[in-house]
Amino acid sequence: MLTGRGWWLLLILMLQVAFGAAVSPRFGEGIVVIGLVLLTWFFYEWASFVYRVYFVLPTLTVTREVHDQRKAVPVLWANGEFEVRLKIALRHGDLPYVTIDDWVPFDARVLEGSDSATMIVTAQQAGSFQYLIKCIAPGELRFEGVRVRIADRQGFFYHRVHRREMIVYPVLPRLTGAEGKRRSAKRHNIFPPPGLHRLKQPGGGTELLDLRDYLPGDPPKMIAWKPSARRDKLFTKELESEVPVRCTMFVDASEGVRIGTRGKTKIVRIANLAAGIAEATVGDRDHVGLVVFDETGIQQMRPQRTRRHVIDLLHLLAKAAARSTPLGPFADADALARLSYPIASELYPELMTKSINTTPFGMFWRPASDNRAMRWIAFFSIPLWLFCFTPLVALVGWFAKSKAILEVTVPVLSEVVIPVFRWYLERVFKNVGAPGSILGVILFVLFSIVGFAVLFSVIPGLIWLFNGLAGTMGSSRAERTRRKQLGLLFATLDGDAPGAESHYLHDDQIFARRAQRFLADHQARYPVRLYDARGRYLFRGRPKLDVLAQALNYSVARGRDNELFVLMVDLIDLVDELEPLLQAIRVAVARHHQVILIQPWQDDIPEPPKEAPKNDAIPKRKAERFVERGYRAIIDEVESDFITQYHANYFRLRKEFGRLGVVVLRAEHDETVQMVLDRMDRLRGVGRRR
Amino acid sequence: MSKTPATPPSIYRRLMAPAALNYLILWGVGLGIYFMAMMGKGNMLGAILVIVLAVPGVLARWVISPVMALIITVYLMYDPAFIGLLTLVDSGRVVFLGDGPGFDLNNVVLAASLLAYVIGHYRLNALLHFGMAEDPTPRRPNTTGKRPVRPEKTVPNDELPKTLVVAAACLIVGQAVWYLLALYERSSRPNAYGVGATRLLLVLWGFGLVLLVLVAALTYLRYSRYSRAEADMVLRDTFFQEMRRETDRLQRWRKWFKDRMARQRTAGK
Repeated sequence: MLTGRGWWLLLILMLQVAFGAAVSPRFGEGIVVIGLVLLTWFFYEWASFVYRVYFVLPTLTVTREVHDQRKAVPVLWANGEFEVRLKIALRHGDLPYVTIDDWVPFDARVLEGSDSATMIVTAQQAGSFQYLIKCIAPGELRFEGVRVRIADRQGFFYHRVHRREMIVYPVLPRLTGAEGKRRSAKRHNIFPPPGLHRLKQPGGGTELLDLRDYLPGDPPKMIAWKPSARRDKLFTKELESEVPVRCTMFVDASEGVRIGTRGKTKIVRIANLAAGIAEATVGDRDHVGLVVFDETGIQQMRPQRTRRHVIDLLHLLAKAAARSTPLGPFADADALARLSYPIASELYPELMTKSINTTPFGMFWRPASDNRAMRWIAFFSIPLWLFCFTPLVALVGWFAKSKAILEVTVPVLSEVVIPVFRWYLERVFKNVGAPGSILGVILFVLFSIVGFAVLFSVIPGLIWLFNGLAGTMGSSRAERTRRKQLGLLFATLDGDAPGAESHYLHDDQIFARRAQRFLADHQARYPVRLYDARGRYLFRGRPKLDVLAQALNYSVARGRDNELFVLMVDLIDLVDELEPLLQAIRVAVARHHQVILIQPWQDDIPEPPKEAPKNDAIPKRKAERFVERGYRAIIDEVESDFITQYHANYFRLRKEFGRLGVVVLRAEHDETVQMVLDRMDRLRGVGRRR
Repeated sequence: MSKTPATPPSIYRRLMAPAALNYLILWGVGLGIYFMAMMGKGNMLGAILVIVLAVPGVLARWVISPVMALIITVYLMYDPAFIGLLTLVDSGRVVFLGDGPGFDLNNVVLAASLLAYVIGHYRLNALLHFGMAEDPTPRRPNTTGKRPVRPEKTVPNDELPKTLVVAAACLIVGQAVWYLLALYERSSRPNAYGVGATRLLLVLWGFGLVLLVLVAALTYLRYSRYSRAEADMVLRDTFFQEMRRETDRLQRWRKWFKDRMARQRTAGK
């Protein structure tokens, strides 16, 4: 609570008062009176600040509103600009110097104004400020609350809290106006009634499809009188079948499409595309439905064409886009701790403070048993140590007349120690020369024993000491502090059983998984390992194929006359395992439905060539290139291989689906929405083209 | 078109703003009275020195200014006009004021002037140079290097009058405390120790008592306002501290076993 400035003044004033009181009989009372007056003022300011921290600050309320150009809105749009307005009020008291820092969500960018404001807030006078944000991508904006920092008017005291006022705003995919942008060349003169399109099947529509011979039982009103009169034979009119086209989009929300940089993940691209298709489809008064699926299950919306339905559909897409980065295995626990720690310190300052989330010194001591080298040192030093101390222990046993000690030590002495020492003495005396007397020899032996004993105990002792102390300083200390404090925070937030924090402290995988969940909960991105130790991609998402096939079969079973199924799925890594999906598509095609596959294209992969490359020969002179350009050449080669493989998979995908009459499109293509709409027109079976 | 950051107004312009001007006047009046009071005691040189130190304290955020002013004042009380220092003789014996009654108007005036100066100095510093701890976070790094200052709009009109009332009250309380302490000491004579030592002990006891009460009150306030999560964490932390060695040992064995199993799996056993 006290700042450095405050501590210094307090210290000087206390010294002044003590000194003044001590010398007051000799040099007057001026020193002590000045000190006491200033100290009284200091304590008054302290007491005021404490009152504000403990009694006024808890009554602070923050009201947040997000406005578009006209009014407060509960829902935002991707790429839209919105004004965030905050109102800070107090129930009683005053805060003369308070700074409010808003927690701007990671998926928003401040365009104008500041997300931080310094103000005075009293019970009568509320503070407010606003700033302009832009939503980067569809999903959710999670405002975590505000950081409140208060200080006194002099800067002696400072206090910071995080006022959690968590509120989540859905960010819907931006409507692109795909309906308005379509080509307007009118190829026919008949404008069908809303939502009704002609199908070349006889039905109950209003447009004439064909004439046929009259059959008994045909209603007289259906008789075409003019042709009947001309041919002198009764003809019956057949009218077109007027049914709406139903488009069902299958959106992949599996783990694989959620990897990538903020706002540029595949799921974001898919969501934007699906929103555009939905808008254009409903603009044509057709029905549109949505199936969001991942590796475990689906969320489904049956095709409809109301405005409300489209908004619900956009909400579902926003939820899909808001799904976090997947929790990957084999994550780097320390890297995640470094990411999580500042966020935890900012969002949970009261739980991360060292007064309640302590870091005792002993916690940092590095036990010798954790160190492999230390174990070897102990392995060798302990026998040597015992070897040197055995004669001394035997001596003690002899003086104490302890039979037990002698029984243990004498055999060791006679079998091990004495032969070794004899060998040692022979070597030494041979090189250096023996002492002149027996006493000299005895003294030499004793000094040797003691010397070796000290050597063998002091050196490992020092190593043990330095090894232990190494944990109390530098990066090791910081890492352990982060792990312990975060571990205790996670255990507290989850309401775990006591002792759970020790798992987080010692088990990297448990900690990494929880830290990833923590970051995901707070919408922070984190690195995930994409490949396992054997180089296998970890997010292929094989189970999603079964889920998708099942969902497609379900939709086919409940489909009507003419359905269009738009599959927006990342299948690049699953080209070898497409069979369940292909079977489902065969069923759909057999039922005269149309299927389109939209493959979300990876950001850093260039466009594929027009045709699949035919030359599969291995490029020559690879080894020479590696030798000439070193690692750079290897990296280029790996990148090139990856791109080639990606393109090859894409062409294979096109080939496999092309056999079934399924068009495969890339999601980054500008005309993708338009192509889907064209395909729907083809379904209607008329010459209208956009 | 590139946006160039606006140049902040100069220190003199900021000093002329109404809120800062009020405290500048308070600061100046405090120093003026201090100068006169010290002149009355024959400490002109010392008073000039304090003023020389005080001016950069405001203009250039010289944080040590008030502390230096206090130390010099204490020294001047001990060795008026630096006579001891100038003559290099035993300065402690130059003036002997004797055992005072606990109240001296000159001391009160001096204390009031210094209080005005100290208040003015710190509040001006908060308005001009550095008002609040920076407390940067990874999401909010201080890239500009600017220190947060107290905005002028946060200074209400009645702040200065209230400050003066508080200062007057502190002056009375501070003087009264000393008067009562001296009175108590005088009434309890003869003491086992000398007068100075007795007063020092009384002051130390007083400090101890005040700090004890303060710490107890703050601790109680902190405990009583713990949220459920904070209280939970206190218990968990206590458990951690008490069981740390045992759980460490268990976890070490567990880790060893997991590593061993992982090695065996890798080896295909």
